[in-house]
Amino acid sequence: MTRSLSDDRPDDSAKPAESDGDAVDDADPAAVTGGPGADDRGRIKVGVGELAVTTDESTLTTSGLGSCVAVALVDERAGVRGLLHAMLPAGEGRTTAASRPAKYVDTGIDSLIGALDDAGADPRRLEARVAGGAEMLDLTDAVGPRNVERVGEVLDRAGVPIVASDVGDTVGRTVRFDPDGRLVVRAADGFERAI
Amino acid sequence: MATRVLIADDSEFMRNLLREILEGEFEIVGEAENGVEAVNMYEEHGPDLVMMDIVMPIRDGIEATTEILEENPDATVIMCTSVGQEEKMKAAIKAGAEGYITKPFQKPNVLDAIGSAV
Amino acid sequence: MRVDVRALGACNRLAERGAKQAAGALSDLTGTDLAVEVTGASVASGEDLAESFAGRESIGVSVGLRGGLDGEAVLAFDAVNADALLSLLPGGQSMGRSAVTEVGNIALGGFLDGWANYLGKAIDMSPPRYFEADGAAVLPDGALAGDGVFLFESRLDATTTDLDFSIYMLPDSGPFRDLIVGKTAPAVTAGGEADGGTTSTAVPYESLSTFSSLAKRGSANAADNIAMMTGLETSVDVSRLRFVPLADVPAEVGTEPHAGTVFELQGEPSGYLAILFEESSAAAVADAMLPMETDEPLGDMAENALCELGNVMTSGFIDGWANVLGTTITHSPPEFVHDIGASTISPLVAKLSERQDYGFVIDTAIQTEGIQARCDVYALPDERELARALDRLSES
Repeated sequence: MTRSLSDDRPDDSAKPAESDGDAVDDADPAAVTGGPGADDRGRIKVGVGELAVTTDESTLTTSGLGSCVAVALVDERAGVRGLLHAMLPAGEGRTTAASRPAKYVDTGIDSLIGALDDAGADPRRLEARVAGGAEMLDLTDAVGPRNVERVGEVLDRAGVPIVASDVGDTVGRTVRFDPDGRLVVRAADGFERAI
Repeated sequence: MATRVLIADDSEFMRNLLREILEGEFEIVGEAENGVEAVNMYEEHGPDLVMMDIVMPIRDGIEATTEILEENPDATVIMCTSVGQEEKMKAAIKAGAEGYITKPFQKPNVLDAIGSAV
Repeated sequence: MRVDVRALGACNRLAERGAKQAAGALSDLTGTDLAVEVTGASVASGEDLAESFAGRESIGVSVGLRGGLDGEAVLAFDAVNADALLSLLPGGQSMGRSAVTEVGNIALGGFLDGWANYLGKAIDMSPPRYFEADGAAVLPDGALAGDGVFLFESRLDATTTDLDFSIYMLPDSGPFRDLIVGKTAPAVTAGGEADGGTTSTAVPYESLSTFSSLAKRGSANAADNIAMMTGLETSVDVSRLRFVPLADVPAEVGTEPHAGTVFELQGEPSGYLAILFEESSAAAVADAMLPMETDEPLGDMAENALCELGNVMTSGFIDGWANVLGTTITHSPPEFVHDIGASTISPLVAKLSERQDYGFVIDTAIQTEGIQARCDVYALPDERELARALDRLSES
């Protein structure tokens, strides 16, 4: 009996019924491209609390960085790039971290490195660029700076150097991770800076 | 001699698509729009293979498959459907289908499924 | 009958995955890229829905559902895009309806697969039906009849064309309620809520529509307050209570610069409230409030004016809740924001995400006449506290 299912898209986790109560897993990256479907000028949007990896010329973008922090990792030789948009510093030990690792800096970076590895990158060759972590509002205590601090700690532990960053301050940012490996950071007034 | 195929699908669009995919290498002996027609056309033409949609009015593909196989245990039926539900696949296997492909599909998937079944 | 909000979250997740599957199928069929922009469940009265959908002309494909889920699902798109869609489908031009019907069939099949697999029960789909509809008639049967129906909605945006799709699923409420209640794993809560065995995130199903109408009234109050302060005729364009992944909210606000005010809410429920105008609207409204001309459109004076406006609107919003819920809800002084829209709301979302992944979002669009200005109000209550308050409401 043959069963040829056409839905073998890369991000379909092919998991049937989830057996543990009402948990529906989302541990897979939002997108992994590089297959036949991706085109040269593909744009992959990474949402809040998500990550994505690409092995081709796609641009990875994410917006709405207030206190959130974006971590862009690249292995230049392998041509593999990944972008994480994390909201909160520490997921370790939290129940939601298993199903949504990208929400947190620590589990998010670990997942991102794992996904990059799966896509053919060498974790030892990775370089990081970081943006975000602003202190946007008095209302929400200094999540931004704490995110940035945690990024530093986790990348240090993983042996990944931060080659450039645009963090802190009180402004919102939108970023674009280009195929050339540079992170273009854009503020509300449209001013762009490539790091 | 080319394999003789019966197509059963309530969608004209889909029948057209399948016909285009198959007509080079296969002989299309008929196109049914529902399960009752599928069974009748099977009796009339005795095809080597049936490409059977599941969701059809009057009688669905799983029932039609069951009926065809009751009278013709050697019949070969491949389900072509938009429904990828596991329970439906199990039901199709139970009814005797030899293959199951989900829409949308490309020509290679169809030919692979047929190759394995026939 | 109680509904664990987290079970709703699981359902939302299923709807999201279903939408992704449908998007994939549609991308394959049309050769264009489609992304799922947002998926949520809304609790809305027929009246609210009629308002939100007014003026639209849609083409849709509907399938009836029976088995694991009962109800109806619809794939719809704007009628003006019909030709564009047909030109993308093989043989589409000559087959018109049949092509569209089959596309709908395939997309909805993809949408439902995940639900069926999760439930371990087949969902039978009736043969698809093509239809054309004005306004809210595009929605599944029963959406307009209800007092507060649960409608699952997904929007699929085409990245390079205007060909966007929506998927609506309306499960029959009785069986769906049972489903959510049945799928609820008894929650183990820190500090245990011990009254009557309630889980701390359980909400009486019926009270959701109460909350929905509260939200609506709050929006109307807020609009009245704008009118009083600006002298501009103001109306509520749309106001809906939705249940969405919090992480999706910043993308909805978008990347255009916005200005407005944000507040922290304390009490029951606590949470946040954001009142955001697109830059030009903010300037226009501030202008209408200030007695004299200002040098810069959104300078200090405008900031003050918008803060005061925000204050009054927020009070209008939450006073109604507090009265009906029988609780006290206070709000912090306004904090002025002026930045990329998504960035102004993401810190609030991040904070709330410490405790929950999904949330009830009341999103309201308020329109002023005369000068073209529009603001969006996002109220993000803490789900546990909201549950508690609604719980007590239903007991009184």
